[in-house]
Amino acid sequence: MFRNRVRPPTPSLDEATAERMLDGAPIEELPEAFRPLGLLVARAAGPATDGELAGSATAAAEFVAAHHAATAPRRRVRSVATSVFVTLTLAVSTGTAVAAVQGALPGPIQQVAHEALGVVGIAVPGINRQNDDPTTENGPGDSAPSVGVSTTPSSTSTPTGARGGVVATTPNGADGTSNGAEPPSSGDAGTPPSEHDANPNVGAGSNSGQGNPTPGDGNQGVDSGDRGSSGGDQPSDPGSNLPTQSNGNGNGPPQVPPVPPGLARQINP
Amino acid sequence: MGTSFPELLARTRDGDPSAFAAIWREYQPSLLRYLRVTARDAAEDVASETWASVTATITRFDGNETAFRAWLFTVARRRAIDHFRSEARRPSVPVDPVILGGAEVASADPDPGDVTVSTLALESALELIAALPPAQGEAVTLRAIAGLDVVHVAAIMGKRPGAVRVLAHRGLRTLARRLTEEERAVTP
Repeated sequence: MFRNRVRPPTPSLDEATAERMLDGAPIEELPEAFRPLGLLVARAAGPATDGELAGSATAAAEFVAAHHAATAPRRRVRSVATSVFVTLTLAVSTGTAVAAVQGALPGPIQQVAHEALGVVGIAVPGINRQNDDPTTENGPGDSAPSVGVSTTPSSTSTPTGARGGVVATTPNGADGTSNGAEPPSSGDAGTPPSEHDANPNVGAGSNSGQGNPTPGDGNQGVDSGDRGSSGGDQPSDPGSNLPTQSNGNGNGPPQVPPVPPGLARQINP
Repeated sequence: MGTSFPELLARTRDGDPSAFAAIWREYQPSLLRYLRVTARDAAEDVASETWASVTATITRFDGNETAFRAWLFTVARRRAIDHFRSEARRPSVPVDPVILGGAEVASADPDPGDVTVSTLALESALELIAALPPAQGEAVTLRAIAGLDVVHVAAIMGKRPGAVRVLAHRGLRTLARRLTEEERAVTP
């Protein structure tokens, strides 16, 4: 009897009391039967002891080191990555440029390099140049015209125009006799007549743009060659005799004219 | 914390060690107590690993104080799991963790018979909580010691809020029962 009064049976902990206890309610607000439990929870969540805060200085020092390490290596990695990228880019571009100048690139790439580097005045052989006889490559002028030859068609952005321009410029680099043979060969290459129509337009446009400034020998040769493919333009350049002869060759939209009028005029005056 | 948490966090992001130390002093006690319940004798090591992880990524943390608290205990739980996984792979002599965990309590209070509710020290309270089933002890610790609500605790433990509530209540009931038994054993 007395023992039962001292140690009453533990009542069941209801959810509301449990939640209040977990939320840190003051012990005085808890039912008396659960105050020991509330005290236990309060002690477990009590203020920090000295032992628990003993590592504060060490933690701060580690934070400084970690913060420094987190910021410093990033810059180093970034700089290394940048330098590697720049080195690789330089190596690849230099190697490609050397190969392009030597004409060692594959055909289409060589042609692209021929057109792209020609814009900045670097003489790079094109596809057709690689097949030409080196002795006749420069044609009437020095090496500079060959650059000019390549640059004028390159100004046309369409691939067909570029291809046709190259074909049209090929006679410029060759002699007048070879001019008569090249345009038909361009027709043999399968370029549709529309491409021939487009190239002269481009050539004519470039002529009007390059005529007044001093275009150089090569530009004149190119212009005349393009006119030759167009066939309809008046050659205002005095030094375009041979290309003018080729005008007749590439004039007709039919790809292989039987007897070019200009050439026939020369053969049979 | 005398200074507001956002200000401390901003200064910590800028690399101010005093701001980080203030945050550390604020959360280290509850973190350590949580790990004493869940990681037992590895609590100190896991707490260090937790702060190392927090230090490495605190510059990218963006949130309020409650979010930081939840993040801190999430990291601590993961580091504890990693620690036990690495320990499981390492061959070692098996040692009863209860013995290791109770050594400090025994030295602090040489007479276990005097352990009553009124004289329960912090370590004794933690030891009682740590003696609960693991999920119950963790739920009680995260709720009562870490000060997280049910939703955050559920996210940390990977359980539903209702399950966390049940676990915490069962843990408290178990503690109440053990306290009563202990008091009856002490008081003739």
